[in-house]
Amino acid sequence: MRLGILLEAAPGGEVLTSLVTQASAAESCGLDLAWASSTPGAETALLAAAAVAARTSTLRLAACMPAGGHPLELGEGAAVVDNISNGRLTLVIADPGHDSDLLAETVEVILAASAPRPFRHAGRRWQIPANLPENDQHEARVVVTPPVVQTELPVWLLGLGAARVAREWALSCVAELDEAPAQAAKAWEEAAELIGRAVARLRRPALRPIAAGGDGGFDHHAVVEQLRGEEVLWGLDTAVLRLPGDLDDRARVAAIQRIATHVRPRLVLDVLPPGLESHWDAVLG
Amino acid sequence: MRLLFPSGIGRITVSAVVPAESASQAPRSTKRLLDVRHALRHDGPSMDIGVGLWTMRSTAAFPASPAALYAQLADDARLAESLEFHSLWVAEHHFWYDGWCPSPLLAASSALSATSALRVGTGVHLLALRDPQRVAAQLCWLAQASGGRLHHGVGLGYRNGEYDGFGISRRVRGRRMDAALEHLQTFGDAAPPTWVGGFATAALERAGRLGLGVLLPSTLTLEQVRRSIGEARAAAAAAGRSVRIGVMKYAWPTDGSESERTWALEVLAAFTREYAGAWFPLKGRPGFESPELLEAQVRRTADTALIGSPAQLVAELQLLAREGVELCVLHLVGDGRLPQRYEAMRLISEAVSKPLRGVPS
Repeated sequence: MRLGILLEAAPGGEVLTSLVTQASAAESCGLDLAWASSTPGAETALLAAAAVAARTSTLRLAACMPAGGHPLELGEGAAVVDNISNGRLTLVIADPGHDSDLLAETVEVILAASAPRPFRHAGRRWQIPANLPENDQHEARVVVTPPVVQTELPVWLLGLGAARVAREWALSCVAELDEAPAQAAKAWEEAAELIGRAVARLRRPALRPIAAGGDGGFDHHAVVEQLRGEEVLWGLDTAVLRLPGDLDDRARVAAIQRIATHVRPRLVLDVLPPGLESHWDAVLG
Repeated sequence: MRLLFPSGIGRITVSAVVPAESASQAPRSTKRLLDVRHALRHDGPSMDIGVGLWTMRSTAAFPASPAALYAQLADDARLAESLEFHSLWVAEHHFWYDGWCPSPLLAASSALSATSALRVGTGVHLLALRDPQRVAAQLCWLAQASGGRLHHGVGLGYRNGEYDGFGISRRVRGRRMDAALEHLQTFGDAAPPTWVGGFATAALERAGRLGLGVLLPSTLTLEQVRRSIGEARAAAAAAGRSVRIGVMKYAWPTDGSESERTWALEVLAAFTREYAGAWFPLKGRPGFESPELLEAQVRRTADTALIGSPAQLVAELQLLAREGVELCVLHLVGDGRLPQRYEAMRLISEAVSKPLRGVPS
């Protein structure tokens, strides 16, 4: 299972420094992913991902941006961050409300814009290019440059209207923080019915909270049990872990290191040999 | 929320040029330093020096991996910081074969993250292409997240195809710019320092009316700079505000020889021919469709560039400073990607900034 952390600036400090501190800790101890979120009214995930990308080299980056803005701008931003990170970006597009049509058209443009050739889009909300007479623009297609580094830009969807659009485009849908495992299982069953064996190509990500204390400590057995259970139930294969918002950077780094030492080794193999976990607990505490 | 810098970093003072009596006997590199140190005193008007413009282009003449170009941006920002430049500037264009960076705020974010004291500016951000609410929130976030090191240069742009790609009529560019700037001003000190690019009367009046900075383009003569400053100040005075003055300048330091100057001019001319020829509108059409206009633009670019010995550059900067220019972004010949830029950056830093701050050589 791939494990990542949800980046949130620790209270009080400089934001870029805090985000880079956490991402660097995650990278140095071998976690797989850092997830940058946007908040309502502040679509800043790509900015945060760009900042983190400049200070890391192997960590994968997920940037969660809401649909609603011009998708060409979003596509260009994703291409730039994919270049800054040398091909480490996963773009997560969130349904800002319950408007799956808006999300669907955004996805359609993003997929076209991240392909390495010119495209034209004629949708309900957007015409790209618009070919407005006063613009004296005669080209029928545009191309986003620079091209994304990856062969295909990974695009995941999140939010209320995401499931339908994800099935339509055969994309991964992220299980939200409060989404029950049974609900996620049902969603993936429905996806398999609709897109058939192609569902095997998709990652199965989820956001999940970790109840870490002020020193970054947490009950790793409980976390492993929960993630293992979801892996068996619905195929969870990428868990993005959210720490409590009030932790300072020191506690966050401690929690990240504990995820690497106490959680990650227990989620690789199907079964561990008897005695190994006890040995780890004795050695690592 | 503004970051306070140690006194003197990135700030130079230019004043009267003094003949360098002993410089003629010195080795070439030493001679350059002596030229400049003799040319400078601390008691003139002050000016911040930034370097630009990073565009991350992979051109036909200089093909490169785009990802490598973005990695170089971070490295170059660290170098600019170590050389104590005031700022590094990134640019924006869209849908072009060379991958010209379409998202300067993201490039700026990576450069700000790679550094801790350097300011990073957009020269310029095509603000009228953006949704005012969304972009204002992003600008304020990045300004705050970087400790106040973001400088926001804005411009209307001139490529109709860029507006058309985003479904925006070119006729509403000015109104969209006004609305975006006015909305940004509602954030007060949370917004980054703003520089309005251009030298059209509308741009200068916009900057003056809103009390923002002006960022004049690279190819203006001194007389045009003087006139533009006058227009901006008049607009600011009418609005009861003040205006800061910045200017971009194509620049390259040489050893004073004709051969180095010729080389730099040839590089600049090649850059200008492609840039202006393909899509910079000269009387409404790309320059390649009007060869005479294009060559006139090449000459204008060369005539207004700062290419010469450090002492000559200082003398030119001095003239700008006397007109009230507070910030000069030295556009290091074309797109800033020449490998020789490292030596040029070091020379400008050593020969201009450090002596003025009393740093021993």
